[in-house]
Amino acid sequence: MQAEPSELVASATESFDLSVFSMDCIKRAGYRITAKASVNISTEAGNAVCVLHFTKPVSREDAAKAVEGLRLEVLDQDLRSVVAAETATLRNTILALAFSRSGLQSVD
Amino acid sequence: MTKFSPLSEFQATGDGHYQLAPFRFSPLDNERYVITNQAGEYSVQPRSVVAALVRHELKPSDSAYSRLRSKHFLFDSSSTIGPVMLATKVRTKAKRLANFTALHIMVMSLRCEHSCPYCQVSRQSEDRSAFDMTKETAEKALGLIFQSPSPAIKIEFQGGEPLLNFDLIRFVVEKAESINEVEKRSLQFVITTNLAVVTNQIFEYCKEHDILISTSLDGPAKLHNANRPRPGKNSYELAIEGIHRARAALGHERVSALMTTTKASLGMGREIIDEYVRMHFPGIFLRPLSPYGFAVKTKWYASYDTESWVDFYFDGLEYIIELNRRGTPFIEFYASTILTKMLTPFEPDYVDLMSPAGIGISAVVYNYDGDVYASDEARMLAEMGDKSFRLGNVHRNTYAEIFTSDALLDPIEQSFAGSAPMCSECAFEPFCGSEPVFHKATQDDFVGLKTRSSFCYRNMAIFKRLIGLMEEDPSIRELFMGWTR
Repeated sequence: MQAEPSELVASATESFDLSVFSMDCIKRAGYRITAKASVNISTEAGNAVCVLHFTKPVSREDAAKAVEGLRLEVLDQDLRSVVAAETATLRNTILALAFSRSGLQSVD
Repeated sequence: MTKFSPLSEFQATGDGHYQLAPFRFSPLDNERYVITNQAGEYSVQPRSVVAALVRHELKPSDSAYSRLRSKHFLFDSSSTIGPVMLATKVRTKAKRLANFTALHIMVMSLRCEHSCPYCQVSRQSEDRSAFDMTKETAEKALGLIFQSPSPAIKIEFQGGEPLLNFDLIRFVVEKAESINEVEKRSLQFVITTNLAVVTNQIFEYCKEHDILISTSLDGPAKLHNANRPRPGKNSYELAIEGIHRARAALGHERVSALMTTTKASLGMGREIIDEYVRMHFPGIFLRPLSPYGFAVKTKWYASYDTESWVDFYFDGLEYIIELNRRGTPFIEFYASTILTKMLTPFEPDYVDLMSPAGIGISAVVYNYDGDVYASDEARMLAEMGDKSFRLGNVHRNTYAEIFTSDALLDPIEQSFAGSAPMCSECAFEPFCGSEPVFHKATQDDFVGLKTRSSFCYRNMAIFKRLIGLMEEDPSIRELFMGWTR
């Protein structure tokens, strides 16, 4: 028996609890998957609802992979936000220390 | 008594409290992440280790702890000097900025007797005055060149075929040498030529004035002649003969060659590399087509996709590694540039892989008509009608007007990868570049959407492959260490 071709889908939806993840992390994650899909983000009952609109219809398996990719990316963005917040002062200090002796700053 | 203290002396003995250093991370594959510090030093770690690091759950006894501390991903009570060391490394990476423009490209003529369909700029013309640089323009350009604060000045003669205006090359070389008697810079000249019209007198002149030759060699005769048509259909024969003559006149190492990948090249990577080995070149720069000029007009640029080029590149890289294993030392120069960024404290000054962008800062172009462009690609874009990166004109603008023009500062500021979407959090950013000219050409925007940028796709693929190879095989890491400059 010949297998049916996999059904194609044009979009997929995933939600994130806004008490766990910030909207900024979700937006950043959405931006990073724009090679495959544009993401519409709305809020609903304390959740960020992300609708992935694929640039061309994909199989259900590929849609599931894209959603998984978004979930992993949100987790990564959450970690990045922790690093950014904790190291902001140090990052600026190191840059100031580096460039204060570079000769690049104005003498005026 | 041993010469060294026991290993325990070097292991962390802190109380487990540490401060995170600023770092970025990106996936290498499904399990591993590449993390980079502010100075571009990298480490490959499982995702679980990165998460544990961020949550302050790493213990001094964990195997990753000391490595992460030594590369400034964390600071603890035993690494109080860490921030100062990291700042020193950041400063070393940025050192090139203080020198400003070192490479000055002068377009001697747009005329060329070749008619390569992938060429970005050349013109067939009987009218010399239409597309040749004049003495007056060259003199003005030299005046600007020596206002650059760079202690090293490299003047590269380009075209078209610059040797079709060789009298002007002589004028520029002698004038620059005369100016340099006072300036005392490190002065170097390069002629980029197809070698088809070169004469022994020209070689003698090049020898006398220590001029380097850079030529084009796309691969074996059939491929080269198909890519680079000229009357007589003998571009390859003239290039090979010219390379031999140039080496005899100037010295083997004074002659280099560049290839461009066309659709016909894709299945011939190993033959192209063999050609370079046969010609005793020390390496090859596997270079994709650029999205400018005739390459776009003739649709050659669109004749293959980025994925196909990346496959071509990886196969070539694998073959080059094989060659080295078999005892033939040979380098892939693009990898060499990236590896220098990955494995050393230094920046190799390759305009495409810089942030802030290298346009104007590292290289600038004085076109045949006196217009000044931010890079070679910028003048190619101008030939397509987009003069976004035209900084001024040697006859009408001062050095300060040209190098502080909005046409230069706006794209540099906007495309700065340290603050560009995605780039700012990408672990590979220290190895990459911002390339505003490429993104203006392909997306009509200095920054570009990176998820749809073939520049980003291509470079990310290469960064991951190079790091992956070094992680998998220490002998490849050793080989790659030898490729750094």
